[in-house]
Amino acid sequence: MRQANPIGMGLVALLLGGALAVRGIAPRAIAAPEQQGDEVAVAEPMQLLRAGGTERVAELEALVAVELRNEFETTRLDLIELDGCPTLTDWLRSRRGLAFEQTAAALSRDSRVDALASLSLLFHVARSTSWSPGMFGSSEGAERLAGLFRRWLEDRAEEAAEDPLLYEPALAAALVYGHVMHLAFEGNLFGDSTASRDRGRAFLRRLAGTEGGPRTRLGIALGARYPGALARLERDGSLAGFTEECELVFPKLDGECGE
Amino acid sequence: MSELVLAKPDEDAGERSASDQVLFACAMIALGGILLGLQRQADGSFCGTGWASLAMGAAIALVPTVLSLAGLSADASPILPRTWLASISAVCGYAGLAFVASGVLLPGGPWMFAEAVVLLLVLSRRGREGEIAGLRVSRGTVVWLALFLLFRLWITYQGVRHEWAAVTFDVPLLSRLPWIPVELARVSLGDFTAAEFGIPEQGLAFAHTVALWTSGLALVAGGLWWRHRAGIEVENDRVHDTIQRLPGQLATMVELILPEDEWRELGLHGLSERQRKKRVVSLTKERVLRQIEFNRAFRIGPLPTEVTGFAREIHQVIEGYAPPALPEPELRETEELR
Repeated sequence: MRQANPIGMGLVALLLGGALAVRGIAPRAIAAPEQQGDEVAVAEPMQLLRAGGTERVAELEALVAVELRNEFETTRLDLIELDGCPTLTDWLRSRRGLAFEQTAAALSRDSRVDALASLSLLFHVARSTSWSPGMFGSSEGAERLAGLFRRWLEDRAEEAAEDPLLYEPALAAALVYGHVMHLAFEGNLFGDSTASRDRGRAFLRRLAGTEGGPRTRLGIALGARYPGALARLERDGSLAGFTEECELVFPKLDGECGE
Repeated sequence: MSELVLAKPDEDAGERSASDQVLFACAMIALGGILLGLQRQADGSFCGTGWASLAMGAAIALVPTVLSLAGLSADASPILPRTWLASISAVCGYAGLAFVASGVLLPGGPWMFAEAVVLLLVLSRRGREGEIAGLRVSRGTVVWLALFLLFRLWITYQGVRHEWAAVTFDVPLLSRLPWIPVELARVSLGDFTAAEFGIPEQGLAFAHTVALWTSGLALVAGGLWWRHRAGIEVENDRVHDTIQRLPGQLATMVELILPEDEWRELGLHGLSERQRKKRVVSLTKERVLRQIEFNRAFRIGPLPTEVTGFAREIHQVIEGYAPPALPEPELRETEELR
């Protein structure tokens, strides 16, 4: 009788052991990237994006790149003087608004701290201007604001998922983008803007990697932090989950200066 | 008799031996077990499906195996693994059954136990041939396994969509009213949690995970079938080797008296060398005696010629048979009987 191949038997035993061992592979935990010793640290970066963040924005001046420091300082002071809840689209057409847009764009493409400074400016503008369509208005303001957040996310989202400084702010930026686009979609009393929803949906799906392939790092973080929002986006393409979450995390970011 | 030559196993170098086939089948089962033990996370990395379902599958597989080994099946003598190959094959057979059970069961929660009870009953019931269903897969067993697999895939799909219930549907009319809370407008049945069903925090890549599981199940099922067939061939080879130790023509005669395709039914599988030899002698003796009795029946006397109906039909069947010529003493005995 032919003898069994001992190498084959050993291989089968190994495979059987493997079949048992693979079941114990633990899922990869979702954790924010850890701060490295030699990186520039900004304590509690999310404070800069919340309602009281303006009190700390001055801290960033010393950390912002020298060539952009003056522009940042000027824009910051312009925003402090921004009162009366002007319409975003009108303000962006003003001299100060144009300068703000340029500075925010330049900062978002620069260093990590500059990107954080840029985002803090965007949040400040989102709180201090009127961009909600309201009952009879148009979605133009919401579209313009979402466009600013979108550009920041396009510039920084990919690396932000692995950056301890920008990790949380990037999640917040994605949340606000979804929220603003949802408000743009809901439009005014007389109709919805499906084009806004479709664009918002397409961008967020690309950002999170929810279109069949594996999720992006930011998508995984977003799903872990705001599971309801991403689930609704994946399930039926609705951005309503972003608004629900955003109303909890940034309560007065409603496009009407919280009034 | 001397012209008769029995077909010997081909010695073609390219042909896989039965023992190699058993090894391939076992490798398929083990590889299937690996695929069934993995799931792909949303970020593309892999993680395990956990031990709970495998433990439950192993417990379920134990029952039909023990019932079979305890002689409750139709097999009078259970087949024992006599070689290393047979031992590995037996382990793989049990593991394969456990992999299949764990592959179709939900990986946790109370539903896993409910499914386990049903699966246990399905796998332990006796088939038409008296064998335990888990060891000889019947159509009913396959249907049950397929249903459980579909249910598992459905639950996983629901989990991937963050729908934490087996079924969720909108209440007609109510769901169309914008001021009705979602809790009232949607009804969920069979709630579960991600942890219960082993869905990782970051979610699953559903398509890849389903592909892994179904490929794994196909490998295990194919491996179990192949192992069964190859196992019979290995045992037949062992019987053949024993018979071929007899001197030339004697071995040929024994293989004619005991045809190879009957060896399994005759209980020649799974025996030690000593037991097998004794069994071959016993079976040969039994068949030779039966043949003598058979031939003797034809020498009782001439067949009646004027018959009709049922008797005529019998006559037509047996009139063409001519028993071999008898040696002188037996011929006299037959004459006396007449």
